[in-house]
Amino acid sequence: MRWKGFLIFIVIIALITVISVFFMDRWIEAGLEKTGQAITGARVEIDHLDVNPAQLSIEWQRLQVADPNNTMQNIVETGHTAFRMHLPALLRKRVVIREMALENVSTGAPRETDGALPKKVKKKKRRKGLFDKAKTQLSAEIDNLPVMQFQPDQWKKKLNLDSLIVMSELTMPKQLDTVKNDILSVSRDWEAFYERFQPEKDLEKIKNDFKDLDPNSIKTIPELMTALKQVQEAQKTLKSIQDTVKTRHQQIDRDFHRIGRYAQEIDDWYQNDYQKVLEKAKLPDLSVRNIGMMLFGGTIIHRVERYLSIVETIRKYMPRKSEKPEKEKPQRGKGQNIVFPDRYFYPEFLIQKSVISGRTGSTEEQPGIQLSGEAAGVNSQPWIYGKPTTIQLKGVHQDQRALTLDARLDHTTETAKDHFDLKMLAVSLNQVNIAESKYLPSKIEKGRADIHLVADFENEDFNLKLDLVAYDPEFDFSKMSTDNRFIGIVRDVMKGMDRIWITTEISNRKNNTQLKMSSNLDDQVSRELKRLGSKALTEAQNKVKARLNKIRSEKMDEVHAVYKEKEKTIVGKIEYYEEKVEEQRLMIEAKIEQITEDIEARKDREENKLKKKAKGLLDDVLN
Amino acid sequence: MILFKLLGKLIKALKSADSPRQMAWGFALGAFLGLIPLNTLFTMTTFLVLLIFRVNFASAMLSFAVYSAFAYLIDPLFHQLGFFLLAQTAFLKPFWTLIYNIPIAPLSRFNNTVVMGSFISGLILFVPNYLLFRGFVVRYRESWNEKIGQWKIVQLLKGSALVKLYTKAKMIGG
Repeated sequence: MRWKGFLIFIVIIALITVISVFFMDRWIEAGLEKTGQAITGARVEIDHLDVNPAQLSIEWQRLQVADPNNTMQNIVETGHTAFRMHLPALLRKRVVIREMALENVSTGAPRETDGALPKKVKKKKRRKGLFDKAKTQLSAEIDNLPVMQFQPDQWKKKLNLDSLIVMSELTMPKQLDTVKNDILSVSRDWEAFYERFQPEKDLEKIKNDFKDLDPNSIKTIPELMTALKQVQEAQKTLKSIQDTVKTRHQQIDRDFHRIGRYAQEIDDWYQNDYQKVLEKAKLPDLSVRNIGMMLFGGTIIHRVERYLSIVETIRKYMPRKSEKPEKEKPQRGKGQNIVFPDRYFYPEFLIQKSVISGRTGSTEEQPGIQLSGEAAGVNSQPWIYGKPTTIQLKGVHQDQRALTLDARLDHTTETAKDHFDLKMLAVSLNQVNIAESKYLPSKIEKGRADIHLVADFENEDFNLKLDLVAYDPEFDFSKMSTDNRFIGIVRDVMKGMDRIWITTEISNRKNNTQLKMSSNLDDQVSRELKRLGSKALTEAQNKVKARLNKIRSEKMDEVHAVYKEKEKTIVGKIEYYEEKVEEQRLMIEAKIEQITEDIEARKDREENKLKKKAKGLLDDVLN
Repeated sequence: MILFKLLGKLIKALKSADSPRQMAWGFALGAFLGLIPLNTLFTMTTFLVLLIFRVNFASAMLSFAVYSAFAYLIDPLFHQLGFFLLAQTAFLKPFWTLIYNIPIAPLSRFNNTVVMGSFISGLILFVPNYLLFRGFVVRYRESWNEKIGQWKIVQLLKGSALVKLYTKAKMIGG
């Protein structure tokens, strides 16, 4: 045992302790500032931090967190803040704060110095946002919408129908050609049939054989019977021909009826082609329902994206439960901390209850709203703590302005579920910059708005609904493009509106982001577009219709002529055969009747003769 | 520079009255100290052991310097080993959970993959380090002492000759 060594050790420990006590305030302050800066990407400053090791308490007089998007403004600022740490937890390397009091919390307060971090401190590379794809799509859609080329005078002038017809690849003429080919094909089949079917010889033979047959010229009954048999044979032949002609006539009728039904489809083909040509001509559908989205889509996405980045940061520091820790690639010497279940449900960092009082950012015109509320269960390992984090903030001002925020972040299971409900009433829109868009006024000069945002997140999926109603808005149109008539119409409509509502729904399901937006601007702008553009548009549309009618009429005449010609030939021929067969049938039936009657008459005569003869003989015998 | 100084001290120590066991203990403890990260309770405990027990300090410092550099090089392997033990070995989980809930124990940072990996590596290497270094000291004192003593480099290192030379050279160079 080396007692001298032990003494040295004690001296070293004592020295470390003394130095720590003297410099602890500065170290903790610097540590907290550095951590905060790493999270926000902007300067974090703590004033007069005081640590009391005996009581395990920390307090500071002021905390400023600069807004990374506007470094001359604080995103959050607090006044006096005090809290005590829980010793048993601290001995287990967990920072547990039972209750924290945050006084004079404010947002948007101006800074005295720039809150940007020095350039040598690398800012975190921005991860590609969820909405980047949606924003690009939206921007492309806006630029390509036909309504953006709202130039009524140009619609008629620029309409080059010849090239449009070629480009549109019309289906109607092709379909009519198909009909014509169908007629020709059916006709060919029947012509082939007529070549095989030649009943003329049989009919002629029957006619010649029996035309001059006179039963009176036949002397005996047996001869008459033979003649009757021959006529009946001819009748059978005639019946067979008649059946064939009848069946074929029905088939011909069916074929031509089928072809005739094409007429019903011609209108549909015409309409399709008409729409195609309109599309190619970029003649707008003036009842477009997306004007609200075109106007405010980019702006709202931009704002929502900022809120989402805050949510993303919160989620980063409040990770959801994972079944097994995922292996990281830590920096050399840093390693990865593996977390185990805690008997006391202490996460590594926990603020059980935080009482907040403060106000929203003040402007020159109006003071901020006095806010109060509390946050509970703010922690770094929610699945250990086992309870969701809740935030409630409320504030009302005499001038009707109000704000409520209800948030619940449940990351206690593998499915992280977050719910945010933010209501802001009578928010001032005075001098609010909207966006750098040529379709929008650059800022709102005057007005008020009610805003209601409800957002639900489930892991990577989310659904966000934003309702905004602006009252008496006055816009600054000075930066809007003047040569685009659509923009001019939007400007006129917006000038005349005393209430604009916009409803936005943004959802993300399995990485498929969808944006839906509706606004009363849709109706107003559509109505105005129709009013101004309808005459020019109707004329342009009529021009297209006239050309298509001409194409249809020419093609129809051609098809109709073929139809008529073929129908006349094919149907005419079968009707001719029908007539001839009928003629012979009547003749044959008359002959059969004649012969039959003659046979019967002769039979009667012979019978009477025999009766008379038999009576004479009987009389002779009796007398 | 410091390494040369330590080498000089080691050569002196090899000839000193310290027993091979004291020398080997110093070397093994220094190696352990060199492998694990400094800001842990293990470091403080090991340092305390080094100070209060009669172990050779020069051999400890030499092995500490060598193994610190070595530890930096194989840091990713420590992370792999630590992760395997802490996160991927199911039967050890109840044990880690128990320690995790004992006051003070988490301050050792045992739940850090690099700390755990290096700690286990240090423990595994402790006995071989001790045995090998003790063998080396015995062999040195028995048969290598005279031969090595005649080497020019050793002559220079004796009494920190190199240090004097270095200082002179530095003064001349301005």
